[in-house]
Amino acid sequence: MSNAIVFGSYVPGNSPLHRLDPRAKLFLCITYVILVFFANGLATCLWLILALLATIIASQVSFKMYWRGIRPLAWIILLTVAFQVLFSTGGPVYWQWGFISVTRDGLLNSLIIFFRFMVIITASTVLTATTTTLRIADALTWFMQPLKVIKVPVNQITLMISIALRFIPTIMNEAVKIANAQRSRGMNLDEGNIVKRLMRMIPILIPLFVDSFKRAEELATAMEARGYDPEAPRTHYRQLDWHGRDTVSMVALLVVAVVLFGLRIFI
Amino acid sequence: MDGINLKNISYTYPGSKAPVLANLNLQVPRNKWTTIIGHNGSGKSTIARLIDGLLVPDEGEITVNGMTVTEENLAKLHRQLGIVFQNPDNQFVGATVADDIAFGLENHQVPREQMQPLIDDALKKVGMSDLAAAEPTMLSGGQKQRVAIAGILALHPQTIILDEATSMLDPEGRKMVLDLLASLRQTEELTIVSITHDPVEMSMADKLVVVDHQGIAEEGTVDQVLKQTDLLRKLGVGIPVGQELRDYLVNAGVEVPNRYYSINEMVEWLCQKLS
Repeated sequence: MSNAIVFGSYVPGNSPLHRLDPRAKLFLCITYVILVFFANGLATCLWLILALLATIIASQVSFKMYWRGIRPLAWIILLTVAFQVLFSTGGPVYWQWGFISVTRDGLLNSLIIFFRFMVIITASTVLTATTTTLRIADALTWFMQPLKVIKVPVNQITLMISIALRFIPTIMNEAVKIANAQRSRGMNLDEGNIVKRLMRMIPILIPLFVDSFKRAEELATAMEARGYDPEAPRTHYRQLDWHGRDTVSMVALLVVAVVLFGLRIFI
Repeated sequence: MDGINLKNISYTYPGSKAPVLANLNLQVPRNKWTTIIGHNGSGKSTIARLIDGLLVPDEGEITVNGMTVTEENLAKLHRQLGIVFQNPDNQFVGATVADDIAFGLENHQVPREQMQPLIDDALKKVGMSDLAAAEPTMLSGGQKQRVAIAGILALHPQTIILDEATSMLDPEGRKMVLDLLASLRQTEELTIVSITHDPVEMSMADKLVVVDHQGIAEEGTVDQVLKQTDLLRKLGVGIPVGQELRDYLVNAGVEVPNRYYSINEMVEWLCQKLS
C-alpha cells in the first residue's frame, strides 16, 4: 500500500521507452522542458505536442495514467490560467468590470501557460511512468559525477539517496502503526479544524522521529559491520549501459530542437 | 590460534559507571556452533560488537582465527566475519534483494564481473533465488533475515554472529532461519556464534555460554548447561520444553536421571518408562 503511494507513477512495462537508459530519459525530459519555453506560436506548440504524443505512444502507457498525473494539479492550472485571463492587460479589451478585464494578450498568455503546464507535467509523467525512482536516482548520480572535481562527496550522496528511497515505505508503515496506536488510545485524527488536526500530528511525528533516529543508528552499525567505509573506494553492482537506442533518442531530440528553432525563425 | 579468543576483556559503555563486562575470558571453537545466553543487559550483544570491532574494549585482547581485532584489521575482519542483527529492517541497505547482497561485495571492492555469480550462489544457499529482484517491503521478516545471511555468505566468511537474529520473527520465520543455519552448518565450514533467548536455538549449539555479572557464569555442552534449570530460571532464560517437563516430573516425585532432555528424548524416555 505504502509502496503504491511512493512509486505509484511507475507503470511496469517493456516498451522502447522503458528500456531506454535512465540518463537518456532524464536528459530528454529536462531538455524538452527547456524547449517548451522556446515555443512562441501555434506551429511551435503543435510541433512540441506532436513530439510528446509520439513518446506517449512509444511508452505504451495508457492515457488514463497521464491524466492521473495531471489531475492533482488541475486546480493550480485552472487558477493560474484564470488569473492570467482576468488580470493581465494589453491589446484590445473584450470585457471589463472594475480592475478585472479580459484582453486579447491575457487570453493568449493564459493559453500559453496552459500549454506549458500540460506538456511539462505530461513529459515528466512520461519519465516517471517508464522509469523506477531508483533508476532515476542512478541517472542523477551519473550526472553528478563531474562534481567530484570540486570535492562534492558524490558517492556518499548517492548512497544517501538510495537509502532514503529504500526506507520511505518502511517509515510510512511505521507512521501508520503509530497513528493506529494513538487512535487505539482514543485520539481522533479526523475531527476539528485544520489547526487542531495539525496539532494532532505531533504525537505521531515525535515517536516517528525517535524511531527513525534509532533506525539510523542501527543501520549505521549494520553497514559498518558489513565493511562500509565512506572514505574507501567501492565497486558498483548497479550499472548503466548506453545502447544504440539511447543514441537514437538523442538524435530524435536534436531533430525536435532543430525543427522547433526552424519554425521559430521561418514562421 | 584458531577460533575466537577473548582474553581479560573489560568494557564500560560511555556514560555508565559499572562495567558491562569485566575480566571476561571466552574461547569460541572454530567451525562449531556456540550460543551465548543471559538476561537482558548482561552484555551478550556487547560481546558480539567487541568481536566484530564495532566496540573497542577498555582492556584485554581479542583474536579471530589468529588475527588480533584492531582498527587496522577491521576491513579484513569484516570480510571473514558477519553479523546478523535483531531488526530485519534496519540492516537491509539495498533497494532490492540482489542490491542488498551486493552492498557487502561493493564495500570489499569485489569487481563487478565477479558479483553476479557470487550473488546467485548466495541466494541459492538461502533458498531465495526467485526473489532476487524483490523489494524489502515485499519480504517477510524471516526472508529479510535470510537475505542478511546471504549477504554475509556471499563474502565467504569463516564466522557468522547472530545477535538475537530470530527474536523479532514469527514462529514460522524463526524456524525458517534456524533450519537454514542447521543446513549451512552441514554444508559450509562455519563458526556460528548465536546470541539468543530462544530455547530451540539454544539446544542446537555445540557449546553453550551463560553470561552474567560481567563475566561467564557457566559454559559447557548443551547437556551440561541446560540441565541446570535453577541457574536458567535465575537468569530469566527460557527453559527448553523437554527439560521443563523433567523438572515437573521430578517435583511430582518421579525419578528422572539428572541430564538434559530435548523434547524427542523426553518423549522417548516417557514411552520407555510407560511401556
